[in-house]
Amino acid sequence: MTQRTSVAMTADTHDALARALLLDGREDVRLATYRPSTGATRRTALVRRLVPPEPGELGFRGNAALTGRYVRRAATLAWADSCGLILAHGHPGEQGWQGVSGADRETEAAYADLAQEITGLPLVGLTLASDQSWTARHWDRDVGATVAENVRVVGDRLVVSWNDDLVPPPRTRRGQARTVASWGERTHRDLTRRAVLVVGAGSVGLDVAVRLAATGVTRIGLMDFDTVEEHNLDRLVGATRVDAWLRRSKVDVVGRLVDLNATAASLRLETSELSVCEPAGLAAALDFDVIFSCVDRPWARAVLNSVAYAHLIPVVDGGIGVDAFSDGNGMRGATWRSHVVRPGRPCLACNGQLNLAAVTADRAGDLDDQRYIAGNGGDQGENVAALSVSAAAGLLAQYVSLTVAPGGLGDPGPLRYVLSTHTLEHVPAHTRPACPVEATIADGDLALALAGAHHAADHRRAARRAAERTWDVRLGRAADDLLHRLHARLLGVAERRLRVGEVAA
Amino acid sequence: MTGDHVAAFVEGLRRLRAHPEVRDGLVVYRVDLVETAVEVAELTGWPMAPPHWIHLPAVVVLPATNSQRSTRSGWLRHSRQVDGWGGDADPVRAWVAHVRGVLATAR
Repeated sequence: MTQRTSVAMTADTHDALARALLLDGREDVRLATYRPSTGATRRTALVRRLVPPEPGELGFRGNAALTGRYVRRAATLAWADSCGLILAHGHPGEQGWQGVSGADRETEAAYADLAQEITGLPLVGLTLASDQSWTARHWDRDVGATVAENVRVVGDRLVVSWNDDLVPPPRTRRGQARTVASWGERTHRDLTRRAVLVVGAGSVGLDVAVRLAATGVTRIGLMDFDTVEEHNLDRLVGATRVDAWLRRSKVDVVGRLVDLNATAASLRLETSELSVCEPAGLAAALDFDVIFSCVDRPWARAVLNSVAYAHLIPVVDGGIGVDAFSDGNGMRGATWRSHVVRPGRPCLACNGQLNLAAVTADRAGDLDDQRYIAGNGGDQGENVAALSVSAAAGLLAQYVSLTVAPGGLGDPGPLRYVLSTHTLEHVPAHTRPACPVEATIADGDLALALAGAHHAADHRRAARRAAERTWDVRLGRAADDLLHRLHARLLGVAERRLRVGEVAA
Repeated sequence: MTGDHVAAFVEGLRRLRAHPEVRDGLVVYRVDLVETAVEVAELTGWPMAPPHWIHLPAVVVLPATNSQRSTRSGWLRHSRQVDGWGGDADPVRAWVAHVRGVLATAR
């Protein structure tokens, strides 16, 4: 069983619960339903809907009190919707993440077995303080309460309530002074402990990951199954001909750059050579709080598009399109786009950035099949380093808006920069009435999983493993690894010298 | 889950009186008296992602087509992309409309 737990809900659900729990300034209690979202190491309860009490189902004996009838009725409704049960308390006058009071613990413990008996899922306890901070725990039968590491509310801002004991606020450092001064200590501590995954370690993903590390983010995931090749070197800034010769994976090379540029006192870097389209890759992605989509294939983008709604993990997506003249002489133009994919905003298919009809062909490997490509006229996929950094900047600005909400405004909606006219446009986009993706909000593990076997990823990894067994690559890697270890040691010396200076100052 | 997706697709075709049958890894059905099919393996994303290849008897000739041999003897499969998938409340009806549009170009 995965032991890390969390809770996520939409801003609309949060508002409905807050109205019910904190309305008249006295302690109140409500039941709600949730669907599980199971990652590789974390399980999240996705809040689905509030179950309002019927007359006689709530009482007040000093504190708010539930009746067994309310619990049984809500649990039965939850079971019918393949959900678990949430018991939510309001704590007016309290601030921040809290320990569970004796009365709340008794109430939750008293109903945990009944809820699990009816729904088949553990009861989840939630507490809401006056400052809108949540606290949460999962009640597994024979285990007791497992306290969550955070509770996330997804709206035009991503608002996170943190359990400081499980995810301590990172210590800010002198090397982050300018960054901290830009948005303040409190925001920085919140922003830098969010687990951020970058899917796709190409030119855009590299820039995004390195900038996140420089900002001080303490947990960064990198996912890509691809290998550095010579034709990548004009865009993969920091990768070298040595990396291409030694058949380094992109996540190894980008991970090295992330490590070099990290300003956090301690960076937890998780690299994965999986595709997010593979079941294990998808499970790994569900462990993160925010995902950057830096991929260009429809299948991977469709998987991430689904994750944003079904699993309530905001996906910051975007990319660049360079429009070359067909005669190879000059450039017609270029555009780069950025948007946050989340409930309340149109999905990638609705905003015109994903053709769901291309997913099946990609999944079948047709987009890598030369016969298919020849039959469809092929796709050049032009891109240049001088412009891909602008796409990365667009994604990062969306992330800062989602996280920091400068001037109180969260994510701005889809944006497009047109290079030929040098104009930045808001792109009008609306959810289609029968959008099959946005209909899956908080479906969690029951959502249609587009993940499956990924033969191109298997092939790339196998080719890399085969190259790693040749003598020249093995010798070259040994020499290259030694150089990197020496450099890492030198960085360690510099770190200690700077710390001496920091203490002296 | 795959079986559920195929069942949903077949049920939708049945509702439209397209006479669907599952055989040899294909869902075979009729659109305007023409027998056509899609691969069962392409329905794992249904209804979020539609199938890609349209299987037709080789006697049905499509202009400027990207065609490959079908798994069914005497048939070809044709690569035809759908524009704007996901905007129809009834995805099976949308799929049949797509196939009908492709057949309209046949010689």
